[in-house]
Amino acid sequence: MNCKEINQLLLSYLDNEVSTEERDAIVAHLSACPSCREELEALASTQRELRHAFKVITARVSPSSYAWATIKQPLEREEHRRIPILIMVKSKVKRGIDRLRQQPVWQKALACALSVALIVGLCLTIPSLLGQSPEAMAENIALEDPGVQLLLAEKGFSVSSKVYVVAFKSDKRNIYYVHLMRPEDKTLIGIATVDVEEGKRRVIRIELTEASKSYTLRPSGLPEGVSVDAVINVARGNPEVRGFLDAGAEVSRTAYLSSPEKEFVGLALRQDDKELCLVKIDWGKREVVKVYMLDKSHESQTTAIRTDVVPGMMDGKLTVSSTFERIEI
Amino acid sequence: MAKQSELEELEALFHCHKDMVFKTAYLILGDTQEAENVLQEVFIKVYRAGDTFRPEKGGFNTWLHRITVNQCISKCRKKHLPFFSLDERLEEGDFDPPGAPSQLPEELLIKQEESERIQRAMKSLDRKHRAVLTLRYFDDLSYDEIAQVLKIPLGTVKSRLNTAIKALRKELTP
Repeated sequence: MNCKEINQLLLSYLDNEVSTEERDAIVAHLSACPSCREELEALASTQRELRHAFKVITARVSPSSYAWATIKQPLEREEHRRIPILIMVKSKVKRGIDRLRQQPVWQKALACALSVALIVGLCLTIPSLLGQSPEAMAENIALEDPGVQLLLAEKGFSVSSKVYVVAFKSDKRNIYYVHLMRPEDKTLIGIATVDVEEGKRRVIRIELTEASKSYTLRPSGLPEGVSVDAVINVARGNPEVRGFLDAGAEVSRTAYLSSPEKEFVGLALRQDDKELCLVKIDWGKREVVKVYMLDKSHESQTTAIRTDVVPGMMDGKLTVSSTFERIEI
Repeated sequence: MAKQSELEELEALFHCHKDMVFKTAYLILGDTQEAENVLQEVFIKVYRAGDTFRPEKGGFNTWLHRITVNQCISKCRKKHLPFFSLDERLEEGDFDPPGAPSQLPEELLIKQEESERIQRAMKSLDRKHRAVLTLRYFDDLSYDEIAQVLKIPLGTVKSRLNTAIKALRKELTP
């Protein structure tokens, strides 16, 4: 191949989109041709610049917070319909199962393996269909965290209180900021930083808006080197908590929150599959400072309710998005 | 009335892919408002015309890219949009997303300058070349996927990318 022909292939070569024969010819030519090597380097540099610029340009823009509401509105008035993509996923799996019933054993085994491959393939192709959005996941992780619940209780939220939450993606992969807001006036109570990466799903940090208080959470939910039993022993110092424990209540979840001034341990006590209370322990003083009772009539700790969008500005910079949740603590 | 669960399924899709659709459209159209319109049209289309999706002809991602690029191109045709009507609002200054750490001013300035140079160069290309560069270097699609999205032969993808990147380089050369 001459320089002109090689030149036409250099971009594909950089993008790894050439055949083995073409690659061999290009490599052989480049080793003997300084001007084509120079051209290759120039192309590679433009590619790098372009990738980088696209990242910078797109980092500055994002869809508006009311985009989903605008899409949803006209569709709500339309007739029932399944999203065909989802039907296709389900029908493929169903057809596979139907066929499986009519086949001999050896074919069943093979078809079974293929079905698994198909399902895995579909899972990889359309992951979003098989789980919640990362924002919704971050919101749920935040709301179900005993540390977050403890701070909400601290802020005067009772069992029937509502808290509005909305997650914002950070500039770090898998890290979301969940804004916790008062429902009446949408003022910001605090921000929970949540890692949604599989295996790490947890609240990393809670910041309260008042007095710029910031709490760090430990993944173990306990102070360093302290066992659950040690915490339970401290909790037993409170007669009410002791009563629950003696009646067979168990610790269902723990949280450890620390700020430069304070250290708290939160314990959730459960009996007969229902959570009874949240216990707040001042770990510096090793004493129970408050017991927040949970309403036994509530089956689950958290109830998610989607309400209408409230677009608007908060504190001059926050825009509220379409997903609101209610938490009952 | 549409069922709530169906809209929730669509909402899950929307939250997963909104950034890809919006940002791809923004790079092709150069205007945030137009990109927002494309985002809305694309997801309404996903809901209404999802039956045109053929898994055997490529994955969902490719299909979504195809709708996005088609919407961008038809927008250019209908409104005779200048291919890259740089978004003035952005030039007035950015704001960090809530909670994001702010960058150093020098860093921001250098990044801004570099990206503006590329934006100006992109402006000089026509939409099919902007689209092919966006699909390859922003969305990271393979040549084969680009061929499926744009419904053009593989050879045309190669030659179009070659032409686009060389034209861009010419613009970038002082």
